[in-house]
Amino acid sequence: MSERTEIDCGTGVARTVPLTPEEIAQRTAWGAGRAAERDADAISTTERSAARARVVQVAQGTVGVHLDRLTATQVRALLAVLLWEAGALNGDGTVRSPAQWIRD
Amino acid sequence: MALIASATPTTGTVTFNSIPGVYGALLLLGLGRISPATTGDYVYGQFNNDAGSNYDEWRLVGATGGTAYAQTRARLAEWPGASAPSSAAGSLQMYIPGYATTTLHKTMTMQASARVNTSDLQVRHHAINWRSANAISRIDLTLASGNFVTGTVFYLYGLP
Repeated sequence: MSERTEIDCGTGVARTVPLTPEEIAQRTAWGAGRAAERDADAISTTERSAARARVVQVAQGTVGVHLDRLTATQVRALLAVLLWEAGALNGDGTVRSPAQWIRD
Repeated sequence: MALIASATPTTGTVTFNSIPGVYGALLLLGLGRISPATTGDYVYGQFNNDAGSNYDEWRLVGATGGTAYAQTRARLAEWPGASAPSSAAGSLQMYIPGYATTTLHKTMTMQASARVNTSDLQVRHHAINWRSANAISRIDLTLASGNFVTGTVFYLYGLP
């Protein structure tokens, strides 16, 4: 962490040099902001599997039901499917921040 | 395509310096793993040692997207750490067209994959923008903590 491998592309020579105090401070700042960065990142495959299973479970009850006969609960279940497809759900079924899934 | 340089770092940063401006594009390839006791952590990139808020990101991770603008570095791949499955690795490839031009800002694409958990194989697609018209002559690949571990390799190619 305290050193840097530097390759001079002109000569091909590689050397290990110590990080400057500015570089160390910069990396420390990156580490401090990493939790928020990760939170804003996409959910993991494991979480996606959990969220998908939950959505499938709630939507299963709408199979075979005519549109005119959908209950409020079943409409909510189908909305969950659309939210899932849009990447709007966390692994625990909660809705993610719009900034994390609404495309520019 | 010509190999400009390669690196097998065991430090926390690898720098490709004095990149010749004679090619039409750069292709950066990497395969590696990192030392922190975590399943995975980010590999960041900077150009020309620019730590200003000049990096923009649009990412697609799996099926989910997000954005981050005016960052002080470009977030690239998430590579497996010491808590990931044994010998699991991450990869990245970044294509930088017109890197030696001096009129327009640089925009590029990056794809990465990594296995950070037993049942978690990730794929990432990033659009990266560097708000600078300067020719890219230096690329830093950096971790926020820890080091790249033995077996990590980076290759920088120049394309005509």
